[in-house]
Amino acid sequence: MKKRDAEELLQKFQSGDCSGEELKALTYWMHHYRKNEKADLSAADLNKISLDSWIKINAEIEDRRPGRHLLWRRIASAAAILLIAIAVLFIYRSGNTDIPKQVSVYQNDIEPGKNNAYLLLANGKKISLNEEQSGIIDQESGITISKSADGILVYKLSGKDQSAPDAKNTLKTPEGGRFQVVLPDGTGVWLNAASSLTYPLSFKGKSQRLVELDGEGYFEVARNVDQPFLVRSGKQTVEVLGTHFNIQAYADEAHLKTTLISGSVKVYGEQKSSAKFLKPGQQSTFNGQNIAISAADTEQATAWVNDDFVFAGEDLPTVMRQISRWYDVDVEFVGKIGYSGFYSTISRKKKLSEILKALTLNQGVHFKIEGRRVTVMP
Amino acid sequence: MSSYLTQSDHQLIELLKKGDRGAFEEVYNRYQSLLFLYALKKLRDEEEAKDVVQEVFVSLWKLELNLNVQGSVAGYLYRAVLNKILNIFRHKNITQEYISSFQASLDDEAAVSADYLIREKDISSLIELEISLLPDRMREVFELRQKAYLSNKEIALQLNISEHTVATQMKKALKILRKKLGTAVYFSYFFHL
Repeated sequence: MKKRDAEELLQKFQSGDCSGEELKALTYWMHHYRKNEKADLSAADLNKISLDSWIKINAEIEDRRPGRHLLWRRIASAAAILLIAIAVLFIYRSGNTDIPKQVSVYQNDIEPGKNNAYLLLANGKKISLNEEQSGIIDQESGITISKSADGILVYKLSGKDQSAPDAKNTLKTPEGGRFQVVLPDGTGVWLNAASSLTYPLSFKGKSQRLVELDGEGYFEVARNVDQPFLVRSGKQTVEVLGTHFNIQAYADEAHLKTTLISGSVKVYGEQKSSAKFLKPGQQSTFNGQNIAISAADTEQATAWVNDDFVFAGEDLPTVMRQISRWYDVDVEFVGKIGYSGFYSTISRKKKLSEILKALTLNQGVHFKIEGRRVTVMP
Repeated sequence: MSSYLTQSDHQLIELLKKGDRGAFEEVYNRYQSLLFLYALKKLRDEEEAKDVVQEVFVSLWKLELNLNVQGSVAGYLYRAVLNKILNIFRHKNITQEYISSFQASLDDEAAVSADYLIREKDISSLIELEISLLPDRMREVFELRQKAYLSNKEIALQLNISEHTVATQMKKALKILRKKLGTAVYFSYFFHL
């Protein structure tokens, strides 16, 4: 076999001119290339990556066999409920029996939140984005705004680019609403209930991609090293090049939480010099002044994107705040209630009564639903 | 014990073809991390590596990969990932490191005489190598998984430990898997136990 020159072959490969045999030699090399290297990732890193991919794969394959998937989900949640029930039964049987019997009262039931938002255009026009309509919503300054059949708001540069430097749009979800938007740079944002996102019509000609978030959003930022992506929430700024992360910045929560799924982000308050970097699987907590970093439960932080509530030891008021946003209800606490951590995974597609029943089983508290008001009782 | 854990790769593929999600998950658990590391080493970009492996699993589920031909399931998955890596590599800058590494491979007598074919034993020795390079805790799970389909009894015989020990180790593995795959999936495993 004649001697061959690697550089020449690589160039031939890139221009698509390799012969079959040359391609085989290159494929063989690539298969063995760097195989003895040890990756600089911990088991936790790998597990996170695996889970993250799994979530995405599930989102893609869901449509193929919806019936089967639902059945599988139903079996899983039935098993979960059964387990909780057994645990509760066990606790009751081994514990005291002289607890006064409280009863929950559900005068009515409340449907879960759904795809619902409105869009504030640069010219002040307000457009309601409900479940039904789809198609082109508006065209301005070379940008087409449309709503896809699966309910995603999409911004697209339409040919001629006359940049409108300061024109901004705001997407706002009410309580009980959620929405997904694809910005003109390809970045996808999932907006949770009672949240808003403000962004320029086009990022063209700007040194950075700056958006403003109130409430909670999950971001999949399109990579662009020349144009950092900045999310501002009150005093906090999160700066990235291209990555996946979740920001929770509700005014009624004590802290702003940023959870990094993959890539790398920089988080800072009013002083950019005190910026901190997050690694995948980490969460930053900002109290308005300082930023603390801890290991995150990424599954929990992004559960809402997949229509789940995941509670991992939150206290009842925190749980109820989430419920209040998603079911658009006012919550009132009555009487003395002891709080212990709540652990559970529940679908956000269930009616309110089902969520409350799980809380009753788990926390021993009772509820009254009257219209859109929920009273929590011992 | 979980019915999926004890299935061979080929049995899982047969189930997967019938639309069995549990079987698909098990294949994913067996190979996702290994394939990801394989792609990561070559691409040096976590996002790209993740996407490549993700795409392969999606096409596996959609039955776009030709799995009817003889050969191992692992072989098909590795080859599919390798093809995607090459597609990405086509657009990368040719560095001196690539050139010298490739040159060494071209000059390697053994490789030349092997006709540059990636044989099944290349794949399985690579898998063994990759498992040996995994972080400790994960390696244990993978070794356990690989052996799982031999059934408890056979492992017990092989390792000269009691069946009970194997069962305990399996439970430990499942516990780690629970963390890995989330509660809902764990419950579906639980359901199969």
